[in-house]
Amino acid sequence: MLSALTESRLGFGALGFGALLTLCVAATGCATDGSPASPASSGSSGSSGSGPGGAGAPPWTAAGSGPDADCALPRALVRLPNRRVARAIADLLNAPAVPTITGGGGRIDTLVPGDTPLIPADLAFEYRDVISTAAAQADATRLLACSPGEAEAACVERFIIAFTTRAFRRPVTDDERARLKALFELGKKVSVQRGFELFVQAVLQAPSFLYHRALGSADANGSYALSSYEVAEKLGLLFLDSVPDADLMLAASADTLRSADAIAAQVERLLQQPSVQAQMTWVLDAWLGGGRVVGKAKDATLYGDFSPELQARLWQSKRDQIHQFTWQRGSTLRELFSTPELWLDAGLAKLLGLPAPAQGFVAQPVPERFGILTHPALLAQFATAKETSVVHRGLFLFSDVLCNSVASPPAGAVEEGLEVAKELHTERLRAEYRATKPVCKSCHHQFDPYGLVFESYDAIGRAQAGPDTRATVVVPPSVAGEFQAAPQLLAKVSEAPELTRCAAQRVVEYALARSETEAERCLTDSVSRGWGASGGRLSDLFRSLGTSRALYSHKEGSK
Amino acid sequence: VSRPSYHQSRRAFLRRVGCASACAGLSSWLLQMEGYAQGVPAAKRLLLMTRPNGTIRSEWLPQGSATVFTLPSISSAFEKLRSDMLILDGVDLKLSGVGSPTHEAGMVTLLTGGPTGPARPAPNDFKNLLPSVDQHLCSVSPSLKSHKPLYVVADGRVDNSKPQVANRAAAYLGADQPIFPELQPLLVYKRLFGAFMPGGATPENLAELERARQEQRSVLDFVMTDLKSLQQLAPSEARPQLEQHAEVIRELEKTLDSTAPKPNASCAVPATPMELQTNVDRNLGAVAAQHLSVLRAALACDLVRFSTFMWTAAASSAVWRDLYSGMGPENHHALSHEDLRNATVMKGLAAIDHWFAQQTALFLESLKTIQEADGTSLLDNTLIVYTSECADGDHSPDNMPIALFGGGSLGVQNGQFLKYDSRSFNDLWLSIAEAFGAPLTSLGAAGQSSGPLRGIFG
Repeated sequence: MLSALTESRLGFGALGFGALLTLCVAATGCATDGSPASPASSGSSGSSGSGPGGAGAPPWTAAGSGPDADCALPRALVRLPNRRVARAIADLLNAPAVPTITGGGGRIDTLVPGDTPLIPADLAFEYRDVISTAAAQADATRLLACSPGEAEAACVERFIIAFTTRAFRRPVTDDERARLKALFELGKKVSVQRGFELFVQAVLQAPSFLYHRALGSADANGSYALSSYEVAEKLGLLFLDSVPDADLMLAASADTLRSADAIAAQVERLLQQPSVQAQMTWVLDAWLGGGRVVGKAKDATLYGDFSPELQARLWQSKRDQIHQFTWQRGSTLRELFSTPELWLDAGLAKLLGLPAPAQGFVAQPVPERFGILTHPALLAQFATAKETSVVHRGLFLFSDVLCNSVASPPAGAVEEGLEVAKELHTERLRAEYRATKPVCKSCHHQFDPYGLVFESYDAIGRAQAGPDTRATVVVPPSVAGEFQAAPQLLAKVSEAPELTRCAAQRVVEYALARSETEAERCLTDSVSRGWGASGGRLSDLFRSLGTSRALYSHKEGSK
Repeated sequence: VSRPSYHQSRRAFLRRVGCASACAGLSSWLLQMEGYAQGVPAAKRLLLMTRPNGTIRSEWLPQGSATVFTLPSISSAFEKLRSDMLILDGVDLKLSGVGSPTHEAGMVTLLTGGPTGPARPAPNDFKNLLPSVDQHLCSVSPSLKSHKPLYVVADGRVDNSKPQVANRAAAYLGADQPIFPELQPLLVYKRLFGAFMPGGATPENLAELERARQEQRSVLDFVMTDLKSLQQLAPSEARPQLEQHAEVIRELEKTLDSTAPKPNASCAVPATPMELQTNVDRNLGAVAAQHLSVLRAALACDLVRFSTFMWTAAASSAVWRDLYSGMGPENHHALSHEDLRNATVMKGLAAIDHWFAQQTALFLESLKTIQEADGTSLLDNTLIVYTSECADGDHSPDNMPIALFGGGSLGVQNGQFLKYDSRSFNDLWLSIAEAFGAPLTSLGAAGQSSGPLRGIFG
């Protein structure tokens, strides 16, 4: 393995093998024999490997010519979304349940939560309420427990430092330590519990806890190298959706997260953890529609079987399938998008008219299925109470799954569409009508074809014979063509570069908790390239992001 | 969920001692009480209430003349309030800017009066370009400016899988600066009535209160010091955000010095709302009832003078399957886009809008029963604007369903059904701004307003 550089200003002193391999293949197309390369040999041509950082500087910056060389995110100080604040409160206090925070407009079920960037007064009040309640319910005795022979004052101080350092994702200053200890003592006049509560309230209402910090320190080139603590914070947010865990904090305090080797090792460690795998599965599932099939109302006379229990099973089946493909089978994205299998239990088997497995969810090949997009959970979710929906299914695939942007309807289009829906009684007829009306066609011709091929599945995702499923896809060029049915189109989608990039984009958006803009585009490109170069296994997507140099590179943002 | 015991309440109270923004009104409450004793008229309040997805015009609009009219099925819910009600027709949301008529464009225009800007990543999620009208009213109106506004919603679900803003925002501080309404009645209650200590002002309680306040001052002192350190490091883009956060902390600090009003005949502390799961069909009515109970008390105790109350977010996805037998499974938004020639669809939509009207009427009737210190009713002193983000399921911005309630002491000419000829909703805001002593010459872009509507205020 490459040794980590100790020169702090170098940022990434050396590449981990995985990252090196990825970057080598992606950036220069060079062949490797699978053995670790030296920094010098992995630098681009003409470079001695000695750049602004001195001997052994990061090869990509030394070369300055790789596709990621100029890729850097804007320095950031932004409030954490509620989902992460709540999760961090629970993690820090070892709480059995994650509190609910509803203020500030954020959602907890989407990759981009959409919280308002400000902390309005009502949200500040809610934070205080949630934090004081969580602190009151926490097991202070256990959290404050002293080691054998340890003096009480010393162990309180140890707790104050450890808790605050993890909550703030940075070292605690002497002044902060003294003030927090004084707060603890103030409350302790009533009880130890009260002292604990006051301390927790102060730390968790503090901006150092509530804001994500990626500031770094400037180097001579005008870029900013993150501290080990800031790297730990990034890894915590990405893999835990929360504050860093103990190992990350340990590495941060030892200042060993400045090398790509060390980061790659942490990424590997994290990806082995079941809780991290579950979180990453959540990310993929959220990209692929999430759990909104639960609570989806259907017409009882047509779909009497579509009970809340069945809806929950449908979602579980989809999640389990994604999880198995990602973590047990080591599958690629293409395999997930082209598998004929479904994860079926007795209830789902009955819904689809298939033999029931003996127990639990079992992978089973199912005729007429082609990949995760033909999972009945998605087909039911993107349909109305009574009918299939070409628009909803098409938009989901075209926009959400392939990341194509769709403009808001032009003037008159919505009214036209609503009228059409009332006058024409099949989805095919409506789509054909939209294809003839310029006001509709300008957008619908892009995504309606993606929905038409799914007409062979009814509103709760069962295969149905009869409807015409032919479609002519026009964009993107990599998918364009004429298709008879869903499997042909989905085969092409599963190979499309847009699919790979979109998966990378969604994961980047989740990590940064914001929609992609120009500033993040090169990071997505970098992750996508790295992922492809590593073989494209689903788990490699997270590995590629976690080890991407661009994730940790920062520059001044736009003023 | 069981009610907390007195001791639990007291402990919880001491943990969260002090309250947030609304308590800025507490000191003025005392002045108000003194004012009443000297014959000063009661404070004037303004409340915007919205229900989603428009209405069924034929079941909403009165039949008859300006003063002699019958109320069809939906608006019949307001029969008892006829003398405190003014129904308007011929008032349109004059949309301008990006996009065609949609729930989102309607919502942005309703609140801001201005043009819509480019959409966020979710289609149709148009940004606002102007602050919402309340920002002007609450900073200029002599009646409203002393109090912090309140924004609440009883159900925040939108029929859209994206984290949309436009359908959920209650107001806007400025361009693309949405204010999201508060969803949980218990939190609103704690924030507004947190200064009412369980057990009353006994010497022991007061001593504990002072100690708890001292503790909270120390907590906030630490928080503020941390914020100042962070301001030193922040990139310039983040500084306004941190300055706003500092302002919020200062507000929290101020509340530690505020005094709780003493309950009296008109001001009663509402029951503590139970913790209910929000954003689920089965609890929508109960959550709304809790919100309205807190809101009524907040208005009566003069803690709040401007509020918005959204029955649900615009383009609501709530499912009303249990409203009556035969109701379809479609969510409200989806149902609103079905064919109205279908009797089941028509009946379903009318039933939902009637339910909103019925519950609104109960709330308004309760305001009428609260007598203020000057002898007038709370309803007399509160002007309520009841409307929606669009006129109907076709997203029409024309002939918006609008009813005004109360406001008698502001001179509202109640008991009428007034028809206008394609006037702008902004003109209604101009009238209201004038009545609240915060006149505006225009609102929105050119063509979005033409002057106050006449005939509303005497």
